[in-house]
Amino acid sequence: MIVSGRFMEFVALILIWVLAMIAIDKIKKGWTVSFRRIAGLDALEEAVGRAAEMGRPVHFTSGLNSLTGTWAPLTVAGLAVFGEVARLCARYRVPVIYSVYGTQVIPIAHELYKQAFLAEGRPEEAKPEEAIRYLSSSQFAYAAAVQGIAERERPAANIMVGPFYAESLIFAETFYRVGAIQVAGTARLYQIPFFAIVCDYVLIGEECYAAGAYLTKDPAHTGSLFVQDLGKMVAIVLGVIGALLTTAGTKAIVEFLKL
Amino acid sequence: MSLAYRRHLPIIITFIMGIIMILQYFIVPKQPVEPYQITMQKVGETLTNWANLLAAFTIGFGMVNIALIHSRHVSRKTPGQWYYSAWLLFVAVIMVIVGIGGEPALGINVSKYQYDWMTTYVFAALSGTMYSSLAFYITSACYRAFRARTIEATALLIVGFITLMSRTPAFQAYLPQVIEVADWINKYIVKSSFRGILIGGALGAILLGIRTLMGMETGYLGRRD
Amino acid sequence: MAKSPLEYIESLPREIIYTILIICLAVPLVKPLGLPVPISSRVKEWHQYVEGLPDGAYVLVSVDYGVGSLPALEPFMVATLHDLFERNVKVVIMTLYSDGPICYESLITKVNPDAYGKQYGVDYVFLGYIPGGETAMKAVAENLHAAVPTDYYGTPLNQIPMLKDISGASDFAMIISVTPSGDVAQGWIRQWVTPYGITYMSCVLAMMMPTMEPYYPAQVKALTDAGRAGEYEYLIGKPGSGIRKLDAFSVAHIMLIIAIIIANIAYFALKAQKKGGA
Repeated sequence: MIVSGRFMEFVALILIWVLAMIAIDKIKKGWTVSFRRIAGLDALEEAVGRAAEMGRPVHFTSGLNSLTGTWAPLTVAGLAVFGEVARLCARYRVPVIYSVYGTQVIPIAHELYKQAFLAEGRPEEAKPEEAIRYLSSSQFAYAAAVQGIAERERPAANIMVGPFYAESLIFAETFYRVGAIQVAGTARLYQIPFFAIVCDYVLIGEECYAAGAYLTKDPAHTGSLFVQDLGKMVAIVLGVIGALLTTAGTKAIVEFLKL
Repeated sequence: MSLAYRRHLPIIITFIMGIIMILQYFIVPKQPVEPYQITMQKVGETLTNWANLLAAFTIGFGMVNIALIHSRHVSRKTPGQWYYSAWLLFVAVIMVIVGIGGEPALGINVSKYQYDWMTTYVFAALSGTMYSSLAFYITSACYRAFRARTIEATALLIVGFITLMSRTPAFQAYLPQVIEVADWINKYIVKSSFRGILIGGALGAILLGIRTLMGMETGYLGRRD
Repeated sequence: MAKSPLEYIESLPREIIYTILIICLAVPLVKPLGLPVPISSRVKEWHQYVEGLPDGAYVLVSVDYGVGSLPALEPFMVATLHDLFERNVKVVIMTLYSDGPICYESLITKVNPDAYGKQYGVDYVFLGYIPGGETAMKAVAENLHAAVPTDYYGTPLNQIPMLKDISGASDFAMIISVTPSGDVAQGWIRQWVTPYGITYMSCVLAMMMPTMEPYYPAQVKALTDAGRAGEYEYLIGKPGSGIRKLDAFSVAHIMLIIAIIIANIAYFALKAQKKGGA
C-alpha cells in the first residue's frame, strides 16, 4: 500500500506522532520536563520593554512569508511569535509595526493583533490598520520599504522570525544602524550566519518552530518539544551506527532506511 | 458565534486536509491510473490548486491595505511620510493601468511597450541596485563582527579569512593551497553542521505540523490559545 | 569626548568603509588590472559535461532567477549558453520566475544565437514563465505538451519543429539550472534527477554551495557558483562581464581582509592600552 522507498518515512512519522501524544498526555498528568532557556524568545519582553522606555515602536517581520510554499511552517512559527509580540506591545502600550510581504497572512495578523489587545483587556487601543502594513510581494521592493520604515520610524526593537532570503542582511544592518535591539530567527540555513553576526539574539532552525510551544508555556505543548529532542537523539545514534557500519563496508542502515 | 463554529470546525477541516496531503505522499496507486480513477494524488493536487487560488485572492487584501494606509498619510500630510505615500499611490495606479493595457491575455496590447520599459528600466534596475547594496552591508558587518574577542569569535575570524581568501581570484592564483583548506572546511565542518541544523529544523517542522493537525498550534487561525 | 586614533579605527564609520569599497570596486572595473584568472576544477568539470553532449541532444536550461539577481547570475548563464550554442544540441529554455522572461530577453540579446547560425524553433526555444515552482518542474517532466501548451510567443508546441517529438524529462540528456534559490536547486533533484536520472548541473550563489554540496556529485553532476563566470568565459574564450568583474572581486576582497586585520590590531592595541592604564 505504501509506495516503495517511503515505508520507513511513514513509520517514523507515525512513531513521532504517537510519542508526541504519549508525552503530552504524561505531562498533563504531572510529569515534569525541564528545557534549556531559549535566549532569543526570552529576550522578546526585554526588547518590547526597551521600546516602551524609549517611546519608540517595535518592528516585526516574518520575512518572505507564504502559507502555501515550502516554508509555510516557518511562516506559522513567525506568526506565533508575532502573537506574543503583539501581546507584549499591548501590555506595555508600545506601537507595533508588522511589515507584511505575503498577503495571505494579513487577515491572520489582524486577528492575532486584535486577540492580543483583547487578552490584555485593551481592545479599544487596537489599531490594526496602522500596525499591519502590507508593503510589497516583490523581494527587494519589500526590503526597500522595510528600510524606509526603519529610517523614518526608528523602532527601538526589531524582531524577525520567518523565512528570509537575501534581504536578511539588509534588514539586520539597517536596524543596527538605527540602534534597534534585534531578535532574529530563521530555519533557512544560508541566512543564519548573517543574523548571527549582526543581531543581538538569534533563533537557529528548530528554535523558531519551538516558539509557539515555548511562548504559550502550556505544559502539554512542551511534550512535543521533548519528542523533538528525542528525535534528534535517534538521528545521532543512527548517524553514528551508520558511519561505523559504512566504514566497516556495509550499508545496512542506509538500505534499512531506504525501505 | 458558537465555539464549534469558531474553533472546532476550522481545526477539523485542517485535520482532514492535512491527513489527505500526508497520505497522498505515501499511498501511490499502481500505474497506469485510469482517467476516471480518483486517487489521493489527484485530490492532493486539487487541494493545492485551491490553496493557490485562495492565496491569489488575498492580493486584494494587500491592495486595500496599501490604499488605506497611504491615502491616510496623504490626507493627514504626515510629516516625512506623506510625499512618499503620494508617490507610491501614483506609481501603483500607473503600473496597474499600464499593466492591464499591455496584457495579451486580456486581448489588450496598447501599452505593452511601456509596461516592458517600466519593468526593465525601472523595476529591474532598482531590484538589481538593492541586491548589489548587500556588498556594502556585508563589508560593514564583517568589519564590525570579525574581532578575536573570544575563542569562538577567533575561530569565526580564522574560518572567515580562509573563506575570503579562497574566493579571491588573486589568492586562488598565487596561493592555491587556501582553496584546499577552504574545501576541507566546507566538506567536513560546514556540511556536517548544516546537516545537523537541517535535521533539527525538519523535526521541528514535523512537530509543528503535528501540533497544527491536532489543534494545539492555532497561530494560523489568528489565535494563540 | 574626542576619540583617540585607535578608537576611531576600531569603530570606523561605515561611510568611510563604503567609500573605500566603492573605490576598490570602481577602479578595477574602469581600468582592469590584468590579474591572473585561475580556472577551478568545478568550472572545468562543468565545461566537460557540456562538451560531452552528443549531437542532437536535448538540454533543458532553466533561467531560475529574477531581475534582482540578474547582475550576479547572468554572466554565468551567458557563458553556458555560448558553450551550448557552439555545439549541435537543442536547447529548451524555460523559467520558474515571473520576471524570468525579462532575464531571458537580456540573456539572449547578449548571447546572440544568430551568430552561431542557430534558428529559433529549430535549435532553441523559449517556453516562458511556467508557474508553480516544483509542481511546474514535475508537470514538465511528466508531459511537456500538457504542462506548456505554447511557447513564450504563443506558438503551440506541436508546431515547433524541435519539440514535436518531445514528451518530457526522459527525452532530455541534461538539465541546467542557474538560480539563487536553494528550494529551486533542490527541487530539480526531487522532480528530475531522482525519478528520471537526468544529468543535472546547478549553478548557485557562493553562499549556497555548502547546502548543495551533499548532493554533489551523486545527484548534481556539476556544481559551481555564479562568481566563477569569469573563469568560464576565459575557458571558452568568450570574455564578457564576468571576467571584467574578477579584478574588482580580488581588490574588494583584499581590501576587506586588510580592513579586518587593521581592526583587530586596533582592538588588541586598545585592550592593551586599557590594561596598561588600569
